[in-house]
Amino acid sequence: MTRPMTSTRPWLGLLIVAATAACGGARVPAELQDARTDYRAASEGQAAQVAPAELHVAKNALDKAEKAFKENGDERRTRDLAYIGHRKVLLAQAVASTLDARQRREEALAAQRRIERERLGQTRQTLEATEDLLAEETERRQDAETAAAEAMRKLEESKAVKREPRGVVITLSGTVLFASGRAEIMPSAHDRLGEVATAVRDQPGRIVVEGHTDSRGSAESNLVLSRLRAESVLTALAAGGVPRARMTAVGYGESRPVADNASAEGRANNRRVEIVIQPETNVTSR
Amino acid sequence: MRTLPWKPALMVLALAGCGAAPPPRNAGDAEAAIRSAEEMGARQVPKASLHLQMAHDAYAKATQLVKDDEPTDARYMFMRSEADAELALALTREAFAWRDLDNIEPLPSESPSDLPPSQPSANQEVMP
Repeated sequence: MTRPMTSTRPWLGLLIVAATAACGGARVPAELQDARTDYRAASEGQAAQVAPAELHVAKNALDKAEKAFKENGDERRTRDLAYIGHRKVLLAQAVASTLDARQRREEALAAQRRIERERLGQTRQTLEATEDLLAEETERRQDAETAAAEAMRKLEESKAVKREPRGVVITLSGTVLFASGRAEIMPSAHDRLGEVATAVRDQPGRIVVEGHTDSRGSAESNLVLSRLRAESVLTALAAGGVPRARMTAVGYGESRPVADNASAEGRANNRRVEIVIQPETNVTSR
Repeated sequence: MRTLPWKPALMVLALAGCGAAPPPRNAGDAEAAIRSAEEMGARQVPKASLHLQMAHDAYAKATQLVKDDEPTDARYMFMRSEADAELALALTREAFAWRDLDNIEPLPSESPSDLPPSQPSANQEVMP
């Protein structure tokens, strides 16, 4: 059972009466309601900023519909004009959305172009830095090769270099390098070893440092001394830039003389350190 | 300047032949608006396609109203047709604009924050 409206909500009835009187008693057609609602949304949205001309056209169309409604109520003409006004409002919104999309696209493309320019700049900088490094490396390499060639030339001039089947052999006199019975390199010999290091450090192949003695003293002590002297030379060469991993120190004692131990000159020749630069083929065949 | 479309022109001749009133002048505007929307590709965009169909329906009703000798009603129906066709055109342009935005190829290993976000749109969908 429905309650009489007047008994509970008298003000609602009055409101409806007043509203109906205000608009001539006609019901607002759905077309006009839709147009009003969407126009309000459009005028508060982006269309007001980016599509004011289209929104103005829509407003004019809507005004015509409102005028027709005011004068004639809910007639066919009012509905026609409201329908058209509503389409104009929707068109203004579509135009605003289109401009928004195009603006975003322009911004996206501009951002991409900016990023591409930045990446190109970074690539160019990296390339220039690499070219500088390469030029420096090339220069350094050329200097090293020149120094090595010069050092090797000096060694060859001093008759210290021999080319043998086992490789290039550089022979250093033990008398020049070490005091009698000692394995420490004498200060005066460091320059000489520095030149040898310069000559051999960029040569391909393994390097074997061999220590040899004369026949004075016991064979066992000579073996130990020759190995210690070979290790001292290896350490000096490493200090001069020759990679330690490429080198091996070996002591042969008195077992491989190159001269007669009976004479002082022969014994002096036997006290030596030989630096053998083995050809790369020998290394790989091992 | 718009040229007189052939369809309203034919309609004028046909109706003049049977003694009816000539169609309203805005029949040509509606016809031109429908053609523009179709040429733009309104049929590929669902929402635009709907309004294009409304434009066609209104145009057919208006034509019937001309035959029924209701020139005023016909004129307003042609106006409805034109309004729907123009809206279809605008919705098509809108959908294509958002599609163009979405079709931008992102740069390799690009940070998403480098690009402005695209906004989803009800009209964005475009039929293949």
